[in-house]
Amino acid sequence: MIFNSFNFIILFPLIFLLYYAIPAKYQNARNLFLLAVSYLLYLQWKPIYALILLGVTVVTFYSALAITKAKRPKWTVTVGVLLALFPLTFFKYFNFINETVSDGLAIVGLNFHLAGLNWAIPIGISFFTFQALGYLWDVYYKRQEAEHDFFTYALFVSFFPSILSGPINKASLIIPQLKQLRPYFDYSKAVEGLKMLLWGMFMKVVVADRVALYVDTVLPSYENYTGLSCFVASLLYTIQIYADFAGYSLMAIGVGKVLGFELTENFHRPYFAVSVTDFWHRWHISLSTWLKDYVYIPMGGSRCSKLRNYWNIFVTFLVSGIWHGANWTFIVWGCMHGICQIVEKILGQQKCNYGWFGKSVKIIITFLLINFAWIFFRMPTLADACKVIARIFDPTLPTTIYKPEISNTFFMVSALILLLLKDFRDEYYPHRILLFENRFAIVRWCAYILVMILIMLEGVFSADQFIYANF
Amino acid sequence: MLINLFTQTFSGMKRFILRIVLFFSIILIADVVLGRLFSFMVSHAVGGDNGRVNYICNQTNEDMLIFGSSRANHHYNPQILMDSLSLSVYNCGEDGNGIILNYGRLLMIEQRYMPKYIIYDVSCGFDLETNDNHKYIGKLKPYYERKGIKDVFVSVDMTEKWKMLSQLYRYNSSFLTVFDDYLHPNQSMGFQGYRPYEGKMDVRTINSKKEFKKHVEYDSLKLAFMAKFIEHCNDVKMIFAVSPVWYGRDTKRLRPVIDLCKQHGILFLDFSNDSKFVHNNEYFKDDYHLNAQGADEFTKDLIQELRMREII
Repeated sequence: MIFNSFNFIILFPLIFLLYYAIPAKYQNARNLFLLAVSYLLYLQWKPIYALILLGVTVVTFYSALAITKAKRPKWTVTVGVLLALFPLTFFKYFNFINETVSDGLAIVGLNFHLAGLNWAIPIGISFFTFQALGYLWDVYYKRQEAEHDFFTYALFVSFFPSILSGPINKASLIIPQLKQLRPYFDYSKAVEGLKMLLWGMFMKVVVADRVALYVDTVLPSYENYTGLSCFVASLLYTIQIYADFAGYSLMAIGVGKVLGFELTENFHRPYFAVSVTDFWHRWHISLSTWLKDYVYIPMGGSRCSKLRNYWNIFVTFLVSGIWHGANWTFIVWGCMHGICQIVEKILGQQKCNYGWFGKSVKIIITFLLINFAWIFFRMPTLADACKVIARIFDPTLPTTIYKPEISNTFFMVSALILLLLKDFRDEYYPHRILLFENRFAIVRWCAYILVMILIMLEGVFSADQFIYANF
Repeated sequence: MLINLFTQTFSGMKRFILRIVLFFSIILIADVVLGRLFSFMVSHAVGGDNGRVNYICNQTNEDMLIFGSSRANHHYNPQILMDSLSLSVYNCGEDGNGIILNYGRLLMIEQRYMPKYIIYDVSCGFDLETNDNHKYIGKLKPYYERKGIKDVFVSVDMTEKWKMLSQLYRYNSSFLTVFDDYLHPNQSMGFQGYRPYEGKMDVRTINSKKEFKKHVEYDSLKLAFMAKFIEHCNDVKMIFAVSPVWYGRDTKRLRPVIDLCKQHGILFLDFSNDSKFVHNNEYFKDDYHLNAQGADEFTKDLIQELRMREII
C-alpha cells in the first residue's frame, strides 16, 4: 500500500476499525483478517502476481518443514532457496542476464539472443523473497523453529505495511508477535505509530518529493545543465533517497505499531555516519542485517584471514548491488561501497577516534563518498553516470546554477532545514527540545498540527511512487 | 484481571479515537480559516502571478489571446502584434503547462466573451505526450468552483473531487506566491502577460549530440482536451504554431494536432526548423526558449506569415 496515496487515507481507517472490531481473544481471526487485507491490497497492483507471492510463501513454508525432517537438510534448503529465488531471478534479472550473455557471446563472434521480457516486475518481490529466504535459512541454521501454521507464516511474508519496500523483517521478530495473544489495543504504541506515520509522511511528501522536482529536472537532461547544477542535483538526490526510503520505512513501522506490531528499525540517521562502514549500520538496516547474517557470516565473516575478510566484504556488497537492480550501475554502486569499506578497514578508519572537528570532517567525507556513489545508483547507464561526474569536475563549464522558481526553492530549503534540525537533535541531543515527545500536551499538539498543515500546504501530491518500490 | 485489561484497553481505544477526532477537527478549522484567507488573497491579487491569472480568467477582453506553455509566454511579444495588426493582444502562456490548464482557462474566458483570434503554441510534452497530468491542474485549483472546471479535475483523477474538499489542498505549494502577490500588489504581470527572457544562452550547456525520443506515447486525455478546445473555438480564428527550437524539431511527433488542424481547417504554422533560428545562439536563452531578441524576431516572422496567408 502506498502510504502517501488517497487510497491509504480512505482504506487505513477502515482497516483499523475492522481489525479492532475483532475481539483480542479471537487472535486467529485477527491474523486471518490481516492476511486477507494484505493479499487484497497486493491484488490491487496486478492480480496475477499475487500467485508469485503465494508461490514463494508455499515453497519456503514447506521447505522449512521439510528441513526439520530431512536427512540431508543442506539439499532441502538448497532446493527451497533455488525455487524461492526463481521468480525474482526470472522477473528481475532475465533481461539483464540475457543481454549480458548476448553481448559476451557477440564479442567472440557468436550471435545468440533470446527475446527479452516486457513484463512488469512484481511489486515488492525483492523484499518478500529475501524475508522468506531469511526465514528458511534461520530454520536451517536452527535459529528459528519451523512454523507449522501456514496462515501465520503467510501473514509474516505478506504483511501489508512492509511488503512494498520493507523493512525486511526477521521471522524471530514477527512470528512470535503473530502467535502470542496481543492486547486488544495498546494506546501508547498506537500514538507512537501515528507520530511515526506523520513524520514519515513529512519526509516523503514535503522533503523527498519536493527535492525530486529539482533532481528530476536536472539529472535526466544533465547535458543541458552546468557541472555545479549537476553537483547540487546529486546532493539533493542523496537527500531525496534518504527522505523517500526512510520516510516510507517510518510509515510502515508506524502503521505496524497502530495495529500493535513492532517491525524492524530500518534507518538511524545515516548521513551522520563517520565512515561508509558506519553508514551501513544506519542505512537500510534490515537489508544490511540480512546480508550480514546470510551472506557475510556464512562466507566466514571476519573470522578468517584478512584477505578473505576483504573478499567477504566485497562479495556482500556486490550482492547488495545486484539486489537493488539488474543494471551495471547498481553493481558498480555496490562494489564502490564494498571497496570503501575494505579501504576503511585497512586504514582502521571504520570508527571515529577524533574530537568533534575530526568527526565533522569524517562525516563530510563520508557524505561526499556516498553522494558520489549515489550518482551511479540514480543514472540509467554507466555512461550517463560517468558523464555526470565528468560534468561536475569539468572546469571549463560555467559556474551558474539552475534555480527553480523562488517559492519552490523556499519550500525545498525550509524542508531540508527542518529535516536536518530534527535529525541533528535526534543524533546529538535526543532529550532536548522535544516536540512530539514533549511532556506538555499543548506543545505536542502544536507540533502535530503544524507538521500536518505543512504537509497539506507544502507536500507534493502527485502520483509518484516510492523509489525503493522499484526494487 | 482480564476484565480490568479489557476495560483499560477499551478506554484506551476510546481515548485514541476521541483524540483522532479532536486532531482532525482542529485541522478542519485550520483548513477552513486558512483556505478562506488564501481565497480572499487570490481573488484580490492585482499583481504578480496571481494577478495575471486573475486577469486571464476574469478580465481579458482582448481581440487575440496567445495560449500554450512557457514557449508561448516567452516567445510572443504582444506589443509587436498589437502595433502591427492593430488588435489588442494578451499572452496567456504559462510555464510548465499545456492543454489541460489552457482548456480550463478557456472555459472560464468563454463565460464572458470569446476573442477573435487564438494562437496556440503547441509543444509535444505538455500538449500530447503521456506524463503526470496532476501538475497541469495546479493553477486551476483556486478556480475549482467555476463552471466546467470540476469536470477537468475529475477527468485527470477521480479522487481530486474528494481532495478538493480541503481548502488547504487548493493552495498547496502556492500559498507563498498568494501572500507575496497580495502583499506586493505592484509586482509585474508582464507586458500584456508577456514575460521575455533577457540575456543569451550559454553554448557550453548545449549538448550538440543530443538524441531525441523517437517514440511518443500519446495521452488520450490530452488529445481529448485538445479536440474540445478546438470545438469551443468554433467562432474563433485559431492558429496552431510551433515556435523555434534551438535544435530544430521533428514535427512528425505533432501528428495528432496536425490531423486535428486538417480536420477543422485550422492553420498550422511550424517554425521549429526555421533556418533563421536553428542553432542560432543569438536568439535563444536556452535550447527551448527564445530570448527577448529572438522572441521579437519570431513575432515579426509570424505576423509576416499570417499576412502572407491572409489570415489577418
